[in-house]
Amino acid sequence: MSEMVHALAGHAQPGIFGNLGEAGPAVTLAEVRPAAVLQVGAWPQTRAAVESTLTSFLGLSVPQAFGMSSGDETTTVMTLGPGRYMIVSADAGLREGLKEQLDAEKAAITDLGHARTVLRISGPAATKVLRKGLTLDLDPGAFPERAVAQTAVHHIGTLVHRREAEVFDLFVFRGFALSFWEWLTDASLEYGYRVADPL
Amino acid sequence: MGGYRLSSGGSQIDRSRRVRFSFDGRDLGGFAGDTLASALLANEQTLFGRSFKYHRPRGVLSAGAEEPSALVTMRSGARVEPNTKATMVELYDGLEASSQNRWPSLRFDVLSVNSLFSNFLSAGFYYKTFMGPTRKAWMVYEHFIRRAAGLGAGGFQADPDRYEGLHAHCDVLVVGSGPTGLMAARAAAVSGARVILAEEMAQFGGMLPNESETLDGVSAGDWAKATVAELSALDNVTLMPRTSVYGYFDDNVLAAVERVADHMPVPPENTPRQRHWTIRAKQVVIASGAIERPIVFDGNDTPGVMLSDAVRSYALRFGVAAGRKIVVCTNNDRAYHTALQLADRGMTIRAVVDARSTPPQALVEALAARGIEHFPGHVVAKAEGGKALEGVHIAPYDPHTKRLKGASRWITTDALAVSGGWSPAIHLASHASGRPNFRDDIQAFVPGEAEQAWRAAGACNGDFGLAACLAAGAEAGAAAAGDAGFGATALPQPSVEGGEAEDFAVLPLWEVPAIKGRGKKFVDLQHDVTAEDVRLAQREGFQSVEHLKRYTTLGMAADQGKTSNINGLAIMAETRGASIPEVGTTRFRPPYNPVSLGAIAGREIGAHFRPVRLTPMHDWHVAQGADMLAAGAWLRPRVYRQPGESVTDAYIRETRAVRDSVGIVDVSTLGKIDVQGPDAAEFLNRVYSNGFAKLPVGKARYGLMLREDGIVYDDGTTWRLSETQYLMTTTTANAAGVLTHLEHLLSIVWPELRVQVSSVTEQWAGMAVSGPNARRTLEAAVDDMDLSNEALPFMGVRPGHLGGIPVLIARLSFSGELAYEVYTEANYGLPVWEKVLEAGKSFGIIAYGTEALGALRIEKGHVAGPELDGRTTAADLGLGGMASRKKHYIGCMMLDREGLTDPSRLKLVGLVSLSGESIRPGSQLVEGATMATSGPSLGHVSSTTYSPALEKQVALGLVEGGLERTGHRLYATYPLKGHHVPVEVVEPVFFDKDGSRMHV
Repeated sequence: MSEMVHALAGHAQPGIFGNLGEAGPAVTLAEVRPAAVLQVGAWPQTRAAVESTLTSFLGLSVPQAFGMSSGDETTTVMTLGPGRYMIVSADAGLREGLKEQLDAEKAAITDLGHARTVLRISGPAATKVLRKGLTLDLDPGAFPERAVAQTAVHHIGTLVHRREAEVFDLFVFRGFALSFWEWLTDASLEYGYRVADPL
Repeated sequence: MGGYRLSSGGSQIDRSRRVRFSFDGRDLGGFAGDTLASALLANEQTLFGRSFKYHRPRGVLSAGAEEPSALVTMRSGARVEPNTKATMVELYDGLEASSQNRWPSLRFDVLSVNSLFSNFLSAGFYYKTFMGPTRKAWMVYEHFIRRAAGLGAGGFQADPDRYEGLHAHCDVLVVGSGPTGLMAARAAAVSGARVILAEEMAQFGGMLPNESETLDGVSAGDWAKATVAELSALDNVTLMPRTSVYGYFDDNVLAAVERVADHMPVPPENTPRQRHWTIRAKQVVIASGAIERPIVFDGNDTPGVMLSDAVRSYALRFGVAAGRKIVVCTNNDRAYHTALQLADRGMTIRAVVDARSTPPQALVEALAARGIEHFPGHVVAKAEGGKALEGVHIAPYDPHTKRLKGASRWITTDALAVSGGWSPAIHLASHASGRPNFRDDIQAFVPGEAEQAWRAAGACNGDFGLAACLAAGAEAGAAAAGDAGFGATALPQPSVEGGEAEDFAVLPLWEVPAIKGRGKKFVDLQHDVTAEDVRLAQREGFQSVEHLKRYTTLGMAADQGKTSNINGLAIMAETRGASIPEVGTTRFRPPYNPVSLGAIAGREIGAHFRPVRLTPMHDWHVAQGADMLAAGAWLRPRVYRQPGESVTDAYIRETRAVRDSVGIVDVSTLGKIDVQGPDAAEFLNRVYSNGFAKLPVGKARYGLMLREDGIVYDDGTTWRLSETQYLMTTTTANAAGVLTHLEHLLSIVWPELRVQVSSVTEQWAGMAVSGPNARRTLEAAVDDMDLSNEALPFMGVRPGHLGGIPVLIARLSFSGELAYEVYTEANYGLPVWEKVLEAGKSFGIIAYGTEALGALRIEKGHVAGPELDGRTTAADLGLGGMASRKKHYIGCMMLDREGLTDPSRLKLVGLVSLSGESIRPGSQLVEGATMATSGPSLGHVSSTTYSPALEKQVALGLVEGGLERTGHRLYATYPLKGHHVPVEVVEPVFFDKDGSRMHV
């Protein structure tokens, strides 16, 4: 699949930019290129069955609370709404495997692997950068680790996933990726940022 | 004469750090911690600027954000910033400021001649003189008047500095950090609430450094410092100095501006000059203090007339005496303490003039002990001096008749400290409250009923004493935290000792009669509104506060009347013989103080004003030199111009190339919706006006979507990928709207249908390959697909591979040629695009843009956005056959209503220019041969192009009677541009009417 051209190819160049404190750049930015981004929608009657299938197939418990996620090294499952889940995985085979498990009678599976660009911001200044665009309260009490929210940054629809206290994944429409990247890097200048190779 | 630096004192300045600055080009010195105002006063600069209307000399009135007079222009060049309050400017090395509204110089100003005509330049002068019957005069004079009146001038260069917008959240926002605010923040913080403490000045503490009391055994100023240190050590407290909370909006959202780098010559790299904060607070404590108010008397705008607490601030905080010989003029006790404090620091107090005849004996004795002359029952009736105060006339005063009751006497002075009482700073509260309430004892308005989650406390709430403020702050902070869901923790009150009386009652004294004539008594110093103007407004019938304000512009300057509104109201009340609450009050609106446009814009400037949306092939288009055109947020290639080509040349060439051989166009922007589920077929059948139930797998169908009122909403092809999955395409413009429409139907109208819709616009890159050589081109590109007419017939859809990459190929034609749409996952868009171009090289394949796309579809009479304009029905567009009569679907019930079946409705036709002139989109279609005789409009032109196939200017239009007019001559008229083009009505399909070119 070496022929793929991602949205930020040629635009996000590795390096160190902006103001540097004694500790160096205070955030790291990287494009994450998951092998699969799948949206799963259960029917009202099949919600429990779909959740149990997802739990056993992914080996992850599906969060019962909307706006939460669970995950392991390779895969994350997010509960976005009643019967709506998003699965992000480094396992490319997940798509076909899941389609075998869940036919149309059980759920709809929509492949969004190319539709989203995922940017990871991490580091001690991550929340300081994000509050330049996010209206969400990023206090750990209000938006804890593993929380997920659909919001907007700089007029761009953004799904925010707090992987760890100082690590956030931001999912945006691929077409807006460059505008979003320009916003993100500009917002990071004040604290200094490092652009890492895509993950 | 004038101000000077005291030999000691000044809690806020650092005498070891000298700072150089310039004012009107003059090099001056000050100390770190000075404001521009304090440093200028220390340099004996009494004159700060010229006034708005009369160009009268003006000094500095206050020491804070309420300043109406001392406005200066900061910096120069691209960083020039007019109308900056000198009282709020922190001094820095190299600071450059200049005075405003004077020419040629501050000391000698030509237009101060205006002052001589002040009797003519009264309220409403411009309206009366230049508007109405003599309106033309306004056109002539406006330019000159605007030059003469006004304040500073901004620059025309782009501001080179950064401004940023940010969001903050907290449980309790405390606005103001005086005794009330500090205690509120402490009380809320100990409960565990997340607290933001915002202070508009650089230093926290509000008036505390001015107070003579001790708190817990230390000076009030030191207590403030210790408390701030304690707060700053807490994780749950955010201290925001230099942050002015300027607006209170719905849902407890407040806006604030943080002056990050205004106290530096240039902001540090990548650091904003100002931050605009949107603060979402669960609870708010408004501890914004009170503003001392002036007394209106003859000559009260003379430089050297200042507010009493300001004179105290300059002495105690900055070690600056406002003058060599100070007179204090008051209607309350506190100004006595000011006089005593100043005297104790070695300043000369000439006299204390009190309108009250029997002030407290202790204060009288304290004055006597210091040898300060005391004039109870007296007022200052006139201040004299041009550019600097020279002396005052004082006279005995009768508060019952409100008249002077004896001869006046002269006191030489260069600084007059005036105290007319205090007005609580209710601005922020008033943004989110009912009508303010008037309190007789303090003769002031206090906040009205809260309409959002805030509480006002301390001086802002009318409780002026230090102990009262501390107690009120602690209570408000604890209560706010409690309401935000945190338990209360008892907070010990600091013990207050020594100091000043807690009695803040005032004798109502707003305006002092002039000794002779009317005098020049200014109510609003920033807008030059006098007491006479207020009375004139009343006489001319502008009695309501709202009318008074607009007629005289009282309180409408950039200071929003912080020091003038209440005086103006009181004078109106007096004139009308009514009480102040009867006359009412004007409500304050955001912003509390001026906000720079840069702070509001933040980083949404230039190319980053709005985000743009790019297709996977965008970089290729740009590299090929395409003219990119915005289509909503998308950027699409319009034409790929070759050297020397105009846009027209380019699209004609591109169109011909498609008709002659083959072209490729990026159609990734089309809306794409994944429609999935066991009931998907049924759902689509209800959504589209034509049948979808029987569409076989592997086929696409053109579908028409109606609104509920029967008007056409959107169109596009929908492809059946499996029994339960469809790929719906929409127009680029309606992609989001159609998705919302479908989601609405599924969640509200037919929740029983098991269908899920999701936007997959961004999942797919799409390209249309069109032209007689399209099949050969793709045959050379694909790996494993039979593209013959039999294997992939018209409207067929097949998956396959192209250069090893999975693709979906649909045989669809928008151009009327043999054509295919090739879809691939977005990250493969560019390689697939390039592989198709490579395969088409031998056929001379070209990339074409939206202009050629439009020309091709108009030649074929295909409707698009300009025809689907929200007014047309399927029948109007010649698509009546697509509105099924055999099933129910959205919009079907309304199709037969009278208005939609009216034979005179506008219907789609083709138009050919008979003169060879181009036809303008938007032209009206008329019968008259000349513009003058055009007659009524029969319709309009929707889409136009030059048709390379016909070699004619053609158009689509909507006209009464539609094709009944075939062969008739009409005129496409566009009077605004002088176009009147003869056209012939023809069928809308101009080219290849039988479709033989695409069915091969």
